[in-house]
Amino acid sequence: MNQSELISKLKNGEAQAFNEIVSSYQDMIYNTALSLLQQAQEAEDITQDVFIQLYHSIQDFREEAALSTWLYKVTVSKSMDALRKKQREKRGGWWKRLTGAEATEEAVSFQHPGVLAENKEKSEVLWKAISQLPESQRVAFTLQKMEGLSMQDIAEVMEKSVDSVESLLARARKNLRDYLADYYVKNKLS
Amino acid sequence: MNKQMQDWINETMSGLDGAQRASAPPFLMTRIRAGLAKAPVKSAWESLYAFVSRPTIALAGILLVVTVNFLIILQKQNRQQQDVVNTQTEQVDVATQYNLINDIEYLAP
Repeated sequence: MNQSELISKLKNGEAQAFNEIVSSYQDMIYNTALSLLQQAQEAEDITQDVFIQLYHSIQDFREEAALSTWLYKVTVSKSMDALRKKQREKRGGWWKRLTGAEATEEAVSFQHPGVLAENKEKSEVLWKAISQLPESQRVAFTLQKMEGLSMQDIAEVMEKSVDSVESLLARARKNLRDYLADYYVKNKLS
Repeated sequence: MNKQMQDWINETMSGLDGAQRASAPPFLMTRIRAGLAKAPVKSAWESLYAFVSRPTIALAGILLVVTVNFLIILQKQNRQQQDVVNTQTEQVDVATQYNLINDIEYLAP
């Protein structure tokens, strides 16, 4: 069954169409959310929310863009909202720390389940570096590295020009190298 | 940057090469169904309230109100100054018309 058939069946309320969409896209959404959030439970919540939103707003869905592009957009938007919320909570946590209500949070290391065994150690440092990137660089880099999207696809998801995406990716790589150089000086030389 | 460091950075940068997609957890469909049964559809008013109560939107709204007020006050002040000028011009015109200029000068302190 092709995409437009699936969508029209879902618009008619056919449960089987919804099941098929979930099974086709669940890994794509979960992997994107997991790579952006670096936290399995939150990625699972985002995946669930994305499908619930799709179910509720399918009547408004116009097939100008591919369903996958729409799903990527919603996933990225929800993941970034969750990240911002987490950062706000962290910043607002000074009062809790001051009053001793909460212990200081330590940066948690992240292991992506799809990373090759021989790359586990290297990737752990790289994930830390990725988490330091500015938002749009982080999104562009993650979509390219973890989802293998082309510049054109990333541009559509991020609603930017291909040139902007190229520049975002170049800046992301430069920032990552700078972070890794600092990390090397602090950890490998000491 | 020495060669050793450069090599290490290059190796680390390729740490995600060949990575596979992570698989969604099992029973996701069950969770989605439970979520669909639980989450009521938001009404238009609820969606509007959620949108307006976002910090950025609320802040932008406040800034807009303050700016509009400031512009109105500025415009009112300009109009008042213009009114004073107009009144003075009218007085001089009337005085000139009735040859009262000398009297005005005489009356002026």
